[in-house]
Amino acid sequence: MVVNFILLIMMYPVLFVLYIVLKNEGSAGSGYCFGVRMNAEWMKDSTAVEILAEYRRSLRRYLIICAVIPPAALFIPYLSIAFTIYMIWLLAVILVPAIPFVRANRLLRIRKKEMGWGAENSGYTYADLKSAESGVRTVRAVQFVLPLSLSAAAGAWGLWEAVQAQTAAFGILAVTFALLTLIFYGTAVWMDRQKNDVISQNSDVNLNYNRAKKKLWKNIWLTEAWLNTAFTAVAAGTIAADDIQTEVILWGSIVWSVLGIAPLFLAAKKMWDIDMCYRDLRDIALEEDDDTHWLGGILYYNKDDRHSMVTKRTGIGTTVNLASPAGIGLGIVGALGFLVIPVSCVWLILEEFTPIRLSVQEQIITAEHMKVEYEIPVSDVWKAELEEELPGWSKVSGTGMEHVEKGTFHIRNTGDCEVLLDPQNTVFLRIETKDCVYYLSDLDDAGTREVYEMLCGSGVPEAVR
Amino acid sequence: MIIAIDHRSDIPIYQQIRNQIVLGISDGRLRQGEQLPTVRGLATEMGINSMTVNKAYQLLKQEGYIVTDRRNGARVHEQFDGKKDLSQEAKQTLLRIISEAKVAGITEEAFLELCRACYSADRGTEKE
Repeated sequence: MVVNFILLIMMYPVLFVLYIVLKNEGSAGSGYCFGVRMNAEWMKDSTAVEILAEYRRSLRRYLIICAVIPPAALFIPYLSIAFTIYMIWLLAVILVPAIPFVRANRLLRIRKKEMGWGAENSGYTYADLKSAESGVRTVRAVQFVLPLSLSAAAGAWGLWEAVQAQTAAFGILAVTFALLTLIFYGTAVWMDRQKNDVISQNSDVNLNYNRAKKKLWKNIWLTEAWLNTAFTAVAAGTIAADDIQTEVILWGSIVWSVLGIAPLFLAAKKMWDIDMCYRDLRDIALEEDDDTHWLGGILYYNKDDRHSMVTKRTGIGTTVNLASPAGIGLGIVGALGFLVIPVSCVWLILEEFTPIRLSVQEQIITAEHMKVEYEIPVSDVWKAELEEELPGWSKVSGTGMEHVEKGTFHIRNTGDCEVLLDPQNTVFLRIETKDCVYYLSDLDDAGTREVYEMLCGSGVPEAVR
Repeated sequence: MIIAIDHRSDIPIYQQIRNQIVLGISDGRLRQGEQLPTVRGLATEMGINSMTVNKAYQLLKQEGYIVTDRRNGARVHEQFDGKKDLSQEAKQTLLRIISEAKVAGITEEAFLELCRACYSADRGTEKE
């Protein structure tokens, strides 16, 4: 229920954010509607107005249908099923609005062609020599030196403490967050070097417009870098504390996600303000009319353009040119990313619903769950005990679900142990060998007791009832 | 100054860049001695290969419109030699245009008027 609630908090806002972004399609300012280059005058055309109205009706239906599902999934007792529903819902929330969007894009392009709007600008690319000469760079390495250094120090501290406490997974987590600061810096530099927009014959207007936009993005990435530095330090501090609480890291990650997204909303608002400021200075004759390169108005594919990143036509930020090598690479990564979702759902369901099996056959203790996890020769067992309470431990690697705990767990001041059990059972088998301690259980208590009895009958030394 | 590249045109892109820089110099949008972007900078802005921009700059340098050096990059020439004559290639182009005008039924007076208008026009962004 708690995890369901966290999933709801994390995912539900996506619907409303997407709705607000998509609802504003066709509003004056950006110069685009459904990824088609349009201006305020063309948008007054009756057919364009009708296309926009039909799209908005579809969007409202989409909002109502999608808004019902996540709260309903809150009461599903099985994590894997709830997770699968949320993932399918998330995919639907992202992909379903594309249907009316692509349809509106097609209809608007047909209308634009019929009316001959922007035909004179089709196929042209513009560049301002002054912007090209000055480069318009806003990112200075010196501004990122402090967050980068502090992140690196915090990451190293977290890794050191984790290694000392024999919880390497937490150390990797700290280093990952430290690396994110570096990624934010890299993204800031990358975005700063992108093409400058040409909106006016006046080079000073172009310079100021591009400088304002790039400065805004630089500030956003700098804020993200500082936020991430703070979180890396908190994570390292938590690892260094006596008792690592997975819940603290989990809740911290949620707070970090929410705080990390907040500057992006601010960026959207400020980007809108900048566009509004320069709306009257825009020169229609300079607006590149390359609608044919925007597949469905969403994906950019232009073999003649060597830019790997271009300004998005819907929402804010940039998108990749799928015809560029970097675009192809990112496209493949994105497609694989989408594949991860169904694979992870199937894996979670199998994890949750595959029963645990514990048996002794031919003098070998076998613990199975999806596959054989542990095989322990009875002759290697130093001690076998039935325990009615599990020690306080934290997961180093593996699975921790309501009915399955599996993998390597760390018991403070004792060390690591290997686990495969159902934590809802009331008796567990603790097996000690020369190299390792195991906590195991069968599907139910009777099965666990039966294995224990068999071990006692097999002459396991120091078996304690 | 704004440069417009037509990707559907039969005129090679380097030639389009060269032509527009010459136009910019002639109508004063590019002043004598004015700094031009680096080859890489202009290629990045236009989303084209650096070699294409380099070819345009080489051509402009050969024709005496710009000067380049390692430290300062490319600049519009401080002084043009004022030879008061057109190249053979430019004369051929002019002859072709006059022929087209004749075939189109444009009189000599009308043609010269058009030339005068073009000669003194403030063009803004020219498209090929």
